[in-house]
Amino acid sequence: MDPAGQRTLPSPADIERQLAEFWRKASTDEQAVMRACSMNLVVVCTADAGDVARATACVARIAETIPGRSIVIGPPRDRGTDFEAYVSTNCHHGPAGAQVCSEQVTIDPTAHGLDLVPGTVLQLLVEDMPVYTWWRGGSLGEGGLLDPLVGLSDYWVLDSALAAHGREQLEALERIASRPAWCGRILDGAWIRLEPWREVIASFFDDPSLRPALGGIERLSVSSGGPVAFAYLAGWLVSRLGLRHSGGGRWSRPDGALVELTDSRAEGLAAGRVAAVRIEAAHRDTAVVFEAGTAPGRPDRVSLSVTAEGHRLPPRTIDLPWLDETGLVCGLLQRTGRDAVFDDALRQAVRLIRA
Amino acid sequence: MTEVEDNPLRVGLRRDRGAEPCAIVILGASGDLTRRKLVPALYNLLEDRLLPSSFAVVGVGRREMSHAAFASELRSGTVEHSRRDLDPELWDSLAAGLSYVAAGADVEGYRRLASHLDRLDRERGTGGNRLFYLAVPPSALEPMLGMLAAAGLNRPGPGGRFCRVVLEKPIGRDLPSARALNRQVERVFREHDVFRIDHYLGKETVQNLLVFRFANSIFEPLWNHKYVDHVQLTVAESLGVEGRGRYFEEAGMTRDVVQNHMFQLLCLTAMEPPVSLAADAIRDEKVKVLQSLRPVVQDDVGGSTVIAQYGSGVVGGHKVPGYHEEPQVAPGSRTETYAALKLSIDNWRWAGVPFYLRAGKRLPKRVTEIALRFRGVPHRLFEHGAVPNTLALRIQPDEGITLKFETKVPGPQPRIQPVAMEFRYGTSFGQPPPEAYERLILDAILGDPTLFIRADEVEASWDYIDRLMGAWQAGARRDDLPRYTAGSWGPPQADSLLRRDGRAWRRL
Repeated sequence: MDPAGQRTLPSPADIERQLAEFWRKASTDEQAVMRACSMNLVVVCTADAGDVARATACVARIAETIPGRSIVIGPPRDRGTDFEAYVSTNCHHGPAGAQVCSEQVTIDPTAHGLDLVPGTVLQLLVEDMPVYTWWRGGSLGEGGLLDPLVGLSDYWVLDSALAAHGREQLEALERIASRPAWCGRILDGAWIRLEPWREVIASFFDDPSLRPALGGIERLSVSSGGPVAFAYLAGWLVSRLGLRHSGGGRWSRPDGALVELTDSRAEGLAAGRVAAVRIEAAHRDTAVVFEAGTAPGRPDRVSLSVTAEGHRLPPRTIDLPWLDETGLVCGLLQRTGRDAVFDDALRQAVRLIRA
Repeated sequence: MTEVEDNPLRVGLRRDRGAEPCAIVILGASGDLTRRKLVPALYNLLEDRLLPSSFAVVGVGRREMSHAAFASELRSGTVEHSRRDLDPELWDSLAAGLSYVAAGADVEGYRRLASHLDRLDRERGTGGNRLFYLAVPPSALEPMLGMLAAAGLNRPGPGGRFCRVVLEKPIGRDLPSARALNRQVERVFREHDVFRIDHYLGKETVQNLLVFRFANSIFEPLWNHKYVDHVQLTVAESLGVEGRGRYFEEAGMTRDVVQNHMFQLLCLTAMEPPVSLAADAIRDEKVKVLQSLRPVVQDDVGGSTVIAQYGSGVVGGHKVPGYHEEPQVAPGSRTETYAALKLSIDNWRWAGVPFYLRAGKRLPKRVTEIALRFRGVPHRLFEHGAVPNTLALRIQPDEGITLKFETKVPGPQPRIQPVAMEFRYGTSFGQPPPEAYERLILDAILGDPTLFIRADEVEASWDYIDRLMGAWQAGARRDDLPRYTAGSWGPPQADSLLRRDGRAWRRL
């Protein structure tokens, strides 16, 4: 993190001038600095003042993978001038030793100056680059920065598993997703973290001889660290298999048979983590059980097994790496386009938690 | 093969089709390729959760070896060559499915292999599906295919849906031998079950060529004779023959690199847009490029090609011997270690645009690049400068794309200077790409032949190379094989090849 230029700048034009000055000074005849930009990243810190420092550290690491302009918005202060901003740069050595730099603008508003923030952000966005807004923790309540920032974002990034009230967070997410005029996309870390688990479950049915068992699923049990992981996994299966809501907490297959969806909490497991998934199905008049479970004390290591017609195939061990915050956000920022599978899963997840 | 509905849970995941259970059988398992590339690739696929839910890896070789000894050998190879550190527990998961079968020159060993595979189907759930990887020298290919057929191993096992074979380059050493091998393969396997590897096609940057050309509307309109002056393809290696003297003596640079890697790059650069991304749609267009290459004319072979051999010199600060001093190289060898060609593609798009290819060993650095030099402006307004634009696609190392264009130097005078606008993969995408073999093995398991070479592609490229080599021999050019100093960019004759046309090689 280069602290150069850390003085308050009252207007977007001043901020741009300061950034231009930086680029002019940074490149010399001997050593060219490469400016790389593939996105705008707007970071909304909704927790305490220390969150700006944590977000800044994370943004610096993200810039090494995905360079772009970051605009970090601090939580509203109680006192002082309405609105302050300063610029800084994140530089690292890229390929062949070239220095690669990204820009960061930090906006520090008071509660009173919050109204000025969306307009300033809009002026500071790099033209024609996608806008990712990363909502760090906190509830997606109505009003405040939420509405205007959603409006200018192509991607709304968050981790709903971290919210204190995961169920409400999913409902709020669905409201954002279903805004009629919004063409953006939601990127939920809680959903992306489940991708390896979804791959594991899908891999059980890559074997054509076992695929028909998908139509005979009778029970899905998920042991997880919080309600969001279960809701997403179950919502995904419900939507992919075309299960119907039969009222209350009941779901049925297209052939009318009931499917039991069971959610249990694994003691001491972080929210968003999954400890085990078990799928029971009837196939050719025999029971098939698909199991994936973490090893004791090794939440990343998963053992997979299939028992079909009384015969248990040799279990397999795989790693389902848990992404840290930077890794997760980097993964999210590389997603583009609409994800219809997520949209369907979110809709069903909200139905599940309401049921 | 019975059609089964797609797995609906795969929609939206990294791969929309999962790998079906199968046994991967490596023939020639005691060779270097297995421990350096194949098994490390399988280990990384396992770590990336891309291997089938049930699988087994069977090594087949001539010498007797226990399963444990085979697994131990591969473990050390993986420790040494994997792009990731080996995780003992994950390795054990892979090793639990490793086994070894000794099979010699008689069919009996292959029958034992067949029984072993049937047992794996029952015990490990490999489902009767087979992928044979023939990691053997070219001379062993034909007899081995015969053995597989004789033991009934060219069909899926009980309940299986596929039986595929992967062939390593070189596919033949000339057109007749390539044809003979292709016919032999056809007698044993169906063409859509044959996967001929050119590992260049597994490189991310090579695949990006199609994306760059056909997913960006700004370049394709310029990608033709109206705007492109010429194209340069370079495959430069700083290494010598590295203990492969015997092989290289037989092959030479033209057979080893130009016929396969360079012609694949040429095809991807020059091909027309395919109608879809289906394997045959792409491969059809590639074949058309090879068929459009203007045949070599005996009288012109001296004016349009240069071959040479490296002498001693200094590469990377180290003294290196000349080709003749390399082990297993005949003292009077006339095998070329450098080739430069001027090719013409006789079709509507590329009429009049020369493609200059150069490939060599012991050049100053390792670099693979495709560069399009655009035509100059039609009327020169500025006195100095105005160097034509160049678009360079760097395949390796330091993968990226550079566009060179003119800008005004600040000041009262109308001075102009070229600047480079660079895109580098490492700058924009932090994660390292997978090894080419990982992608190719996975595609073979999935049955996707897009990045593999079809029989007619191989034959079309050999057709050209045979004529070229025939012309060299007839013209006795090998009696007059120029030398270049190791660590230089090749012989002066290669510079003259372009200078005659008023052009020059790019300084890399």
